Amino acid sequence: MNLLTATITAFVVWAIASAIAAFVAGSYVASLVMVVGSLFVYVVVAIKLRTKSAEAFYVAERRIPAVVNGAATAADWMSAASFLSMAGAIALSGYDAMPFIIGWTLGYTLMAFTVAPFIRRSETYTIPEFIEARAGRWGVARLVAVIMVFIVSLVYLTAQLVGVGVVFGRFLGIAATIAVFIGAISALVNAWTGGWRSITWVQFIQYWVMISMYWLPVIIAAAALGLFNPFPHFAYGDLIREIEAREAQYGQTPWTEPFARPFGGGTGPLNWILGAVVLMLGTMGLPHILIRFYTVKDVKSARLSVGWALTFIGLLYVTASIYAAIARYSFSALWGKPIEEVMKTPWVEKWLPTGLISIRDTNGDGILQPGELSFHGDIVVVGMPDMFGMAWFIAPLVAMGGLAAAISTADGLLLAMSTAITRDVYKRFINPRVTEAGEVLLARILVTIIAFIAGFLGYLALSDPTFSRYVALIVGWAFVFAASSFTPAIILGVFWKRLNRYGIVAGMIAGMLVAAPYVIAVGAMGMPPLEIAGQKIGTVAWGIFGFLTNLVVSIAVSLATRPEGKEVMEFIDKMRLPEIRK
Amino acid sequence: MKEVTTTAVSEEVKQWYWKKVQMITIISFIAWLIVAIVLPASAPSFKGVAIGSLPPLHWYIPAFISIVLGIAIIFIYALVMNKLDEELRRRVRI
Repeated sequence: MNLLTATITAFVVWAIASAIAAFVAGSYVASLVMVVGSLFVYVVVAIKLRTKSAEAFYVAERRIPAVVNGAATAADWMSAASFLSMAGAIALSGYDAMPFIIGWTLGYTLMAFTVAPFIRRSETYTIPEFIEARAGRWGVARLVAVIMVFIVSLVYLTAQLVGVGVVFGRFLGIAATIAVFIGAISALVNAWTGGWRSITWVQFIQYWVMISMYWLPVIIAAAALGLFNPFPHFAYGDLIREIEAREAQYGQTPWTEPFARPFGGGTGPLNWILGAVVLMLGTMGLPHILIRFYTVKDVKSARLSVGWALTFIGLLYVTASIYAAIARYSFSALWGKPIEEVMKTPWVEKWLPTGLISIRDTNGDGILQPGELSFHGDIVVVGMPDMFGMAWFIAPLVAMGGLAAAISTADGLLLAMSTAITRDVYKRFINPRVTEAGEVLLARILVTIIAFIAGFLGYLALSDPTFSRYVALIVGWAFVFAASSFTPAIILGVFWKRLNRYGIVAGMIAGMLVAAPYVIAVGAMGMPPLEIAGQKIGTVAWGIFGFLTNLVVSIAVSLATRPEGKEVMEFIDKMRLPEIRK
Repeated sequence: MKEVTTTAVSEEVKQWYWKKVQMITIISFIAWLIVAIVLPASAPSFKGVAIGSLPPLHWYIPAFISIVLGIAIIFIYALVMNKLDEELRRRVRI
């Protein structure tokens, strides 16, 4: 059976099983079969693509077409946070949450012409390997890079598994602490079978699951509200004006008002734009995203695949603010109604016990005032099907999308970390003569160990709310750390020949020394943030100083020490030229 | 077809190519600065501007316009660079 037949067969089995479950056991069991069954489809694809070759495991044999890599990158990129929480953040903070939208997309534009094609041409296998090659085969540079990979990726992976727990908990009422391990095992199986080769195609499928399930409820809700022109993206202006009118009526600060609310712990326009820029710069330094550009077949595909990646990512990101507007509209429609009536609204009744919505009649007049209704961001995507009374099977489909988003990102992170140990530590420093089979076996063992460590951290996060709050915060900080470590090293590495080994290492360490203490002191220990011209600089926006420090230190240290030799110059020359065949 | 090694490409051709790449990179970088930083940072000054059934412009710039322009920059860069690469290959083969 070839891959396509196997995928279709698995999908048909999934559909039939879900239908039978719906008829025999009712909607709850059917939802469960649908959601868990989707994991089964991914595993079938992964097993079909199993491999023992290191080339397939590390870089998917460098044969992935541009469009496929674009969709896989989009899935790798868009995590549980993008799918479940981002629309909610916009619904809550309005204009002031927009740095998420531009910050998590426009980094790709910069990456397209400064990083992606050159990384591909370097013919290395991992980011630490790239750093070492650029640092004249200096092992220290590679080790520092491995440590940075782990700092950036491990918490990020934990957050994905927490996301899986949340999906199961919110949609199916299954204990999130158990579901974390379902997530860990399912990510593990996909990565175990064929490394990047399996993951690439699984992510490709997961992208389409994710994007269709993100659009589905929005399209249905938009149809109910008459927002087609021809897409809701061009027609939700009237909805926003209606929300603004309601807010004005109740004397609320308009939701669309710029800089009325904090972003990343900071305030004002400077913090807003710096926050967005740091998210962009961080995007370019995330190892699990950079690795994706190793897997395409040539430089031409690398360039095009960044374009496809952002196109596919954009399809979700331009839809997030419609989600937010529709949710905001549904919530504001409850204002001014008798509380008793609000409590009997079916979707409010269903979601009140979860704590995602809370209603408190503080002035005791029996009428709901805007300030008496509060909601958690997660309800925007998760609760949308109920707000519009959609058929029962829409909610599990959305859950499938959220799960696909979390698992696909978890897979990329798992492989980025395990290959950093096998190739960059074990093969490089411990046993250079390891056989290919031995290397892949070790990678598989590590995938398993890391999946369970992250699963356990996810379990802790879900059972301890304080810890959980830190996980959410630390994911944002992963971007600060990536922007302060890898991003300057890679850009300078391509465009400035004079950058040498000492510059790279000193820059990465200095960048982190500037980024980490502030983030820990302000973000975790509650110190007051620095103010520039009366605007508070939040932890995310602070990343710009880590980035700039790295840049300045890299340049200064490189100029003060001797340049790299002929070997590095040839490496750079090769990276700068496309493939030429005669 | 055999791959030509980097050292086999003449210094002159390499320099010509890299000069072009630098130029294209700088232009793309300026385009990125405008779309990703200048445009969103100046969005609040478009407050209250409404076009048809679109959301207010200051909202729509970060929510939609910047992203679409960002995608366009990538594809234009890719097309220009891929064309330049063809030219490079022609020069190397002669």
